[in-house]
This record gives sequence, structure tokens and C-alpha cells, in this order.
Amino acid sequence: MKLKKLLSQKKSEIIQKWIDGILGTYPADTYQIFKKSGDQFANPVGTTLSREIAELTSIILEEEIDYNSVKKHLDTVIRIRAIQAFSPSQAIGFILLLKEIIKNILKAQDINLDELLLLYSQIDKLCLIGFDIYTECREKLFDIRVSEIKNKSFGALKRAGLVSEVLEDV
Amino acid sequence: MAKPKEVLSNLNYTPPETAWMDTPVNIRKGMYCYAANPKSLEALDLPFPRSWNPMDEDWKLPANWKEIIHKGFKERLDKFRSIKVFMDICVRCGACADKCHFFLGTGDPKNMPVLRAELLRSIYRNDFTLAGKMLKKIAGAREMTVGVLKEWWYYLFQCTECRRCSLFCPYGIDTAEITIMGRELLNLLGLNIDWIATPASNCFRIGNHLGIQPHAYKDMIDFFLDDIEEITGIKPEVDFNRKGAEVLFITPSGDVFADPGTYTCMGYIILFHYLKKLGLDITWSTYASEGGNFGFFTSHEMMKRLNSKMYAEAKRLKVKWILGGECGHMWRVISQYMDTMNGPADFLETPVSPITRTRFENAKSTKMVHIAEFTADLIRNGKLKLDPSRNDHLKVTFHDSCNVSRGMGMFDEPRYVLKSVCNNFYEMPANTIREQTFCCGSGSGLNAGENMDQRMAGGLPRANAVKHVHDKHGVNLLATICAIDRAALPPLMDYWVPGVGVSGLHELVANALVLPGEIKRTMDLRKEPLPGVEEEEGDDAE
Ligand code: SF4
Ligand code: SF4
Repeated sequence: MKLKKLLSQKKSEIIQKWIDGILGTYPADTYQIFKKSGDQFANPVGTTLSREIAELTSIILEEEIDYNSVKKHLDTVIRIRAIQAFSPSQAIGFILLLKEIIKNILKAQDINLDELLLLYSQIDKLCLIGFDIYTECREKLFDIRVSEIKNKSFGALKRAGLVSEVLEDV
Repeated sequence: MAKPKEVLSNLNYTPPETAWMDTPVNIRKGMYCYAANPKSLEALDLPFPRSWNPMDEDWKLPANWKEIIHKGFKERLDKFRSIKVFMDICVRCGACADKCHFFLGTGDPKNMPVLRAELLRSIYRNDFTLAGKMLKKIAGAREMTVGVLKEWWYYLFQCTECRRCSLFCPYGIDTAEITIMGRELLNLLGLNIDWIATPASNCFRIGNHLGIQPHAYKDMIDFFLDDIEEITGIKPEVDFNRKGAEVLFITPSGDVFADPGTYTCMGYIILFHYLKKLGLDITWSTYASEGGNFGFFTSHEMMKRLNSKMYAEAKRLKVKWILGGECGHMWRVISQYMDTMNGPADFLETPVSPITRTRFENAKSTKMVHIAEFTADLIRNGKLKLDPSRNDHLKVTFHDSCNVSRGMGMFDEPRYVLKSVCNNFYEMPANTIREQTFCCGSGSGLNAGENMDQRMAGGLPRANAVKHVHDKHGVNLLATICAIDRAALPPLMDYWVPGVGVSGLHELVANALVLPGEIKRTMDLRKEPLPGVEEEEGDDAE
């Protein structure tokens, strides 16, 4: 695919713009801090998002997209955004930013419409995968909440026969 | 047709660019705990008990609420010099801004310690400084309003009072102290959360957070004894409320009633059994059946009240000193506040280990020794026969709990014990452990279920470091010496680093401890088969 070859030459620019876009979804002061520090333990969200976006970009610009890897990296990003102050669409909307970045990077004469539409539909697919991941994360939170009550608080009492079986359904 | 950019802007990528004072609080589900049950407030004689909902417009505040806050603020400025200083000296250098786990996890600027403090400081300036009174907003001052009050409530219950920020402040400003004071003010208006008020009330009325009666406490321990017999072939004896014992043992009730703390509780029992022949004379109490102190998260008075119970029991039983289990805030209260609040405990004696004769001079005023220190001393003196290979199926890392590490400076004792009882120990990165440890995200009473988003966000930096050692070394167990951690970390691991379990220290000690006369151990305290045992049995069968 000619288009992907062309974009690969501008990969670092794409990565930078995409990282900027995703970090730009945080308030201005936060953006500054998340962008600044490169220590992965002192700045876990900023560094993780940056690293994963770079990985995702590389995978997407491959001729054949490995959707298993895509899923893994998207999971890392969305798992974080799923518990932050974002609506579901905001949590995964960063994926669609890539379309705009790509369009702005290409000069008019470079655009082969078929190729561009194919790449756009690949990005759409990422978005759908992201939607699944977001839902899984939210479900996981509810499961954790239920099992916390069931196992942690009543598990021990039940093992000791101090509460009735009825509580099993809590 | 809409252009791509317009479609995207519907997704609201860019957050509003208003200054913090002009950005009203937005209370979000999953980020706050339910309001206190009025019955619990009544039981604790706290003012304005009522049902109210943080999501409602009307918080049913008393008519003179502003006056109450102003008066309460003034009283505390007079009483606590530290607060007055902390209100005045911040130069807003920003060194603390990115040090709070809640900020790092949520990305919400109002979770920067400096802004958390500014929430109160802006009112302080307005009400108590000349510049603030005159220059208002220019001097960083603002009027108290219901909106500000709500902001206080939302963000003061997004601080776990962990003190990490204070480590980085050139002036030593401790935002935890500011939160503690702010929460006291909120309590003047009946604005506590239930996860704090109800455990505190249970503890006050019945003796422990869950409100478990003495007979159930004993039943639970009896049940552990049966389990221990099944695992080791030995049934220890535990006695309760025995007058004249040399030592009183107090631990958080979470160890007795909540997994996986229960395994640590079995660990204590096994250790005490082992030490009995060596001269340990210890009793448990069904009245002081709680080490934790949720009063600490309510007010100084409440903390004092709950702490005094432990000492009253020690006096009643006429013991010589107190041994304390693996707890977080119990130890912060003992180490930072007890001595000036209820101490010195002159009716007790300076603790001396009956086995090693080590005199715990560090505890000569509070008369209370931490079990990690006690056990480290035993190991150091060669008093325990240990087989660490029984923990070989575990690759262990250690989470420093804020209260015991930053709160009281205990770093090495638990590590020394861990390394003596486990062969595979790996540290997390240096800027996430010891005094720089990241909070579990659920401390200071925020370990509820309804605020799960908040807990996962607050625990993100901690989990991120665990994930690192999990990926790099295959770490599968996170050990810790705090009951809140034992309750809070399993869900955190479940969300961020599946495959990592959580345990206390003495669970691992008891796994390794070789008891005289024990049967061949085939399972650990969780009744999971020990490594190698299954294969051996398989071989026999062939
Ligand atoms: S580090 Fe200290 S002086 Fe600097 S902004 Fe934070 S609290 Fe203020
Ligand atoms: S005490 Fe801990 S939770 Fe509170 S502001 Fe400081 S770092 Fe954050």
C-alpha cells in the first residue's frame, strides 16, 4: 500500500500529534505534567499513553494489521481512560483523532481515495475493538465490586459457618 | 455535510480552559462514598445527623452553616500551629503537584496537593487575612459558598492522608494534616461518609469496625484453630481477656473477619503457639477487638476516644505491654498521636521480648510493639526454625503501607522478615517504595464499594509498579503489613495486574515456621498444595 509507505516516513510526526491529541483531552495543567516527565513510575499515565500510542501507530502502518496486538495496546490505554472522568465516547474517541491527523499530514496529490478509505475503515475497526474493551473494563469494575462484598467480607464468615448460605447471593 | 473536525468536536476532546476557582465542582458517580448513616453519627454524638445525598442539590445544611465553618476554622487555626503555618507559607512552587497518586491516576488538577490545600486556603485568606479581605481574588481569596463546600467535600474525600506530597515540599507542608482539619470541619456539618462513620460507631459501641460481638470473634478464632490443625497437625490454644497475662495482643478486626487477612491471623496464632514454650505469655481481647482507628479520619477527639479503648483494656487486664498486629492507621495513631493524646502509658512497662530479652526502647512511652519488629528480633536472634522453601511457589514483592512507612518510619523490619521466610523477593522501583511509596488508593476510609473508579484511579501508580515486577520477574504475590491494604489491594490487582495475589507478612512467616511435632506440610495456610508435594504424591501412586 503506497499510502502506508508514505505515512511510515512521517511516523514520528504522526505519533507526536496523536500523543498530543490524547494528552490534550486532559485539563491544561495536567497536560503539561503528563507530557513532561519521562519516568514511567513518576508519571504512569503520561508515559503509558505515549508508549502505547507509538506502538499502535507502528502496528497500524504495517501492511497487515495484527489485531491481537492492537487489542493488547488498546486495552492498556482504555483500561486507564475507563476509570477517569470521561464519557464512553470520550474515553475511546482518541482513536478517531488519527483520521484527522492523517488527513492533515497528507498533501492533496498524495491521496489515493481507495487507500485512504481502506485505512479509515481500519481505524473504524479499532474504534469498535475499543468499544468492546471499554465495556469489558466497566463490567470488570462491577464484578469486582460484587465479588469484593461476597468474598472479602462474607467469605471468611461463611467458611467459619457464622453466616447463613443466603448471603452467598449478595 | 459535517466536516471531520466538527464531528470530532462533538466528542468534546478539549476540556474547558477555566481557572480552577471558576471551574465548578462536578461530583461524579464512582468517585465518592455514600453519606454517613445518621444512626452512626448519633451513636458518636456527631452533629446534624440526617439522610442526605451528595448528588442532590440540597445537602440539608443547617441554616447557620457558614458561621459554624468560620468558627470551626478559627478554633483550629488557634489550636494547631501547623495548620496556621501551612495556610501561610506555601509559595505555590508546584513541587508537590505531580506527587499525589490521586492526581496521577485521575488527571484532575484539583487532586494536585497544592490545589487541594488551596481549596481551604482561599477561604482562609478571605476570612482571616487582610490581603484576602481587601484584594479578594487577586490575593487568591474567595467567599465561602455551597459550591465551595461541595468542592471541599469531594476533594477532601479524594485524599488518603498518605503524606507522600509532604516528602517533596521544600517547606514540609503536609497536605494530609490539611485534609484532616478539613474533614473535621465537614464533620461539624454532619458531612461524613458512611464508610468512616459506621465502622467508627461500631468500634465505639461494640469494639470493632464490623460490629462483631465477642462470641462471634471467639467462634472465628476457634475455626482458625481447626484449620491450623488440619494443615499442621497441631491445635494451638488461644485465650481471651485473661487477666494477668504479660502481653495483650491487638490487631485489626479485618485480620479476623476478612480474607486474605484471616491467613495472617492464623499466622499470628501459629507463631504465638511456637513461642509459648519459649516463654511468651499472651492474651487476646474480645473488647479491644480492633486495632484500626477510623476515628482518625473523623476528628482528633474521635481518634483519641477509640485509641483509649486499647489502653483501658490493657489496664483492666493488668498486662505489662501491648503487641500490635499488622495494621496501618493503628500504628500511625500510636506513633504520631497516642503519646500526647492518651499517653504516656505509665501503668504499663517498657516492652521486653520474653524470648530474646530485647528491650524495645522505641516503645518505652507507648508500650506497644509492632509485630514485624518483634518477629524480626526473634529471627535475628535465631529463635525461629524456618523453612523458606515452603514459600518457593511465591515470588514476592512488598508494598510499604503509607501509615507504617511514612507515618512511623518502618521500612527494614518487614523486609528482613520477608527475606528470611521467602527465597524469592523482588523490590519495586525505588521511587515507588519506602518513604516514596504509593498509596493503595483506598486508605483513610475510602475503601468502599461505590467509589470503585476512584479507588482504581488512586491505586494506579501503585499497580503500575507492581505490574513492572510482575512482567519482569514473574512476581505473583504482593505482601503488606496493613489490613486496609489486604482488603484494598486484591481488587486493585484484579483490575490492573491479574495474577498477583495479596498477603500479610505473618501468613508467610507461618508457612515457613517449622513447628515441633508438626505433620509433613502438604499445603499452605490457604490450603493450597505446596510446590512439589503433588508430584511426589503422584510418584508414590505410580
Ligand atoms: S511543594 Fe509545598 S510550597 Fe510548593 S506548592 Fe506544594 S505545598 Fe506549596
Ligand atoms: S496526602 Fe497523599 S492523597 Fe493527600 S494530597 Fe498528599 S499525596 Fe495526595
